[in-house]
Amino acid sequence: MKLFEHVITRLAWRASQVAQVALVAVMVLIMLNIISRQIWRSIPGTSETVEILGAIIMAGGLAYCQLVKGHISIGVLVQKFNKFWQCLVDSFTSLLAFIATSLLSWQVMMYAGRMLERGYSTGHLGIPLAPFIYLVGAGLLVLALVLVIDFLKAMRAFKASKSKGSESS
Amino acid sequence: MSPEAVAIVSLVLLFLLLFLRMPVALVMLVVGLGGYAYLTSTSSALSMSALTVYSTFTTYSLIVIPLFVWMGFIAFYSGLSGKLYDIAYKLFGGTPGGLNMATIGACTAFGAICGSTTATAATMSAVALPEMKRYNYQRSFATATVAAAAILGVMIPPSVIFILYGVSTGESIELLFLAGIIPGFFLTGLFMIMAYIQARLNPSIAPSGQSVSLQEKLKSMLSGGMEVVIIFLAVMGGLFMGYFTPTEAGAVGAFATLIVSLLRKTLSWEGFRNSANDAVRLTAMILFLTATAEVYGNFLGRTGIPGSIASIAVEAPLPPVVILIAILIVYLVLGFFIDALALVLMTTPIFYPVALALNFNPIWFGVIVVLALGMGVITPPVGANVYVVAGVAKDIEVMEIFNGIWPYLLAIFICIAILIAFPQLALFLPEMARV
Repeated sequence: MKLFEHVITRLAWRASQVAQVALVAVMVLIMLNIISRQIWRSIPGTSETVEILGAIIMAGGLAYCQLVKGHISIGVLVQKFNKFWQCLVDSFTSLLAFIATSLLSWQVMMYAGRMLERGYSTGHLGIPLAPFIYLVGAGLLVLALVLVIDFLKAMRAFKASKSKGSESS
Repeated sequence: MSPEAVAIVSLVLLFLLLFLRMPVALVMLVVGLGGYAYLTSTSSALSMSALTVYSTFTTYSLIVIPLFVWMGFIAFYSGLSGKLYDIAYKLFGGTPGGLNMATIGACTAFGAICGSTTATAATMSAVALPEMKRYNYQRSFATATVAAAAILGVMIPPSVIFILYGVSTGESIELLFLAGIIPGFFLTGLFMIMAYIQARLNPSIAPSGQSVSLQEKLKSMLSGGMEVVIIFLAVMGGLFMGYFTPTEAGAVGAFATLIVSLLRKTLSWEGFRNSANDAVRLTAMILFLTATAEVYGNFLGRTGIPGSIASIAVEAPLPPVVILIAILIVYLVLGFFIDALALVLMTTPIFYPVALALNFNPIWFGVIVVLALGMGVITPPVGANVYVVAGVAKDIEVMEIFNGIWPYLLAIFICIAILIAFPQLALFLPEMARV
C-alpha cells in the first residue's frame, strides 16, 4: 500500500513538472509567433502546437491537483458529521469518483485508438494527434489512481474510527 | 421518466453529492455522464464525455487561462503586490480607514494583472493584513475589507470568470473585459466609501495613518506603479487594438510580468518554479471543471430544460427586471454554497438562454452575473475569499470576518442596482470598441 502510494505520488508530481515545462513552452512559442509575425510572418502551426501543449498541461496537472486537494469541494455539511460518518462519506464519494474517472480514462484511450487507426494529424504540421490523446487518457488514469489512494485512506480511517467506537462502547 | 423529470432528479443528485464533499468537477462528471447514459445509451454517453473533455483541454481560447493565472502568480512571487500596496498606502494612508482604502486600491491595481479572486485575496492578505495589524485596525474590519476587495480581481480585466462566461456562451472575451472596467472602478469607489463611512462612524476601528506630501505620492506612483501600468497597457492595449488575441494577450502578460520581475531582480528561481507549479495546479482545477461542466451542460441540453426555463421566463406575466432579480436571488443563494468558478459554469447553460429570450444584452448580463458571483465568494458558509483570508491571517475566526462583510455586500447590491438602472455603465466601452 505504502509503495503504491509512493509510486503514484511521485508519478503525479513528475507529471506536474512536465506540465510546468509545457506552460513555459506555450508562453515562449506564442511570444516568438507575435515577434515573428511583426517582422516576417507567423510561425506555421502555432495554434495547433499550443493546443497540443494545452493537452500536456492538463494531462500533467490533473492528478497533482487532486493530490494536493486542489479541486473545489464543499465541506460545510460533512464537517459537521462525526469521524465515522465523514470517513464513510469520503470513501463512498472517492469510489464513485474513481469509477467515473476510470471510465473516462478508458474512453479517452479508446478515442485515441480510433484516431491512431484513422491516422489523424494536425492540419499544418501533420503532428499525429493520437499520442497526445493517449497522454490525456494517461493523465486521467493517474487521477483515478490518486482517487484510489483517497479511497483507501478513507477506508483506513473508517476502520480506525469503527474500532475506536467499539472500544469506547 | 420524461427528460424534464430526469433533469430535476439530476439536480437533486448534483446537490446531494456536492454536499457530500465530492469535488465539484467530479460531481458534474458523474451526474452528467449518468444522466446522458440514461437518456441515450452508456456508449454514447461515454464517447460524448471523452470527446468533450479532450476538446476542452485543447481549446485554443481556453489556453488563455493558464497564462493569465501564471501572470498573477509571477506578480505575487516577485513581490509586485507589495509595491502596489505601498503606493496605495501613500495615496490613502492619511484618511480615516486609509489602510482599508489602500487595500481596496491595491486590489484594483492587482486585479489588472491577476484574473482570480482567490489569488487576489491570498496575495493581498499577505501584504495588507500585517500592516493593518501594526496600525491596530480592528481585525474584523481589516480582514473583511481584504476578502471583499479581492472581488475586484475578477471585475478588472483580465478575469478568469469573464473568460469562462465568454467561452461558455460564445460572447467576445475582449468585450466582456471592456465591460468590466467601469463597473470595476465604480465598485472600487463604493467599497472605499463604505470603508470611509465605517471609519468615520467608529474611529477606533481604523486609526488614521501618516499623511504624505503630494510630491511623495507622485514619486511613489512613478517609481513603483509604472511597471503595472506598462504591463496592463501592453496586455489590454494590444488586445483591444487588435494586435493579438486573448490567448496571445495572456502570453504577453506572463512574459511582461516575468521580464519586469527579472529586470527588478525580485523573482528567485524558487519563486519562478513555485509560480509555474501553482499555475499548473489552478489551471488543472479550472479546466477540468470547465470540461466536466460541459459534459453536464450537454446532458442538460439533451433534457431540453434550459429551453423550457427560458420559455417559462418569457411567458411569465412578469416584467423582465423581476425575472432578473429572481435569477440574482438564485445566484446569491447558490453562491452561499458553491464556488464562483463552478457556479458560473453550472448556471450559464440555464440562465444564458433566459437572458437572450428576455432580450438582455448578453455582455451586460455577463457583468451582472460576475457581480452576483462576487457576492457568493464573501457570504457564509462557503465564501471562498473569506476562507483564504482566514487561512493567511490564522489568528481570526471565519465568523469574525463574515461579521465585517455586510457593508461591502451592500456596496455590491448598490452596484448591481445601478447597473440595472444604467446598463450603459457596462456597455459604454464595448460599444465604443465596436464603432
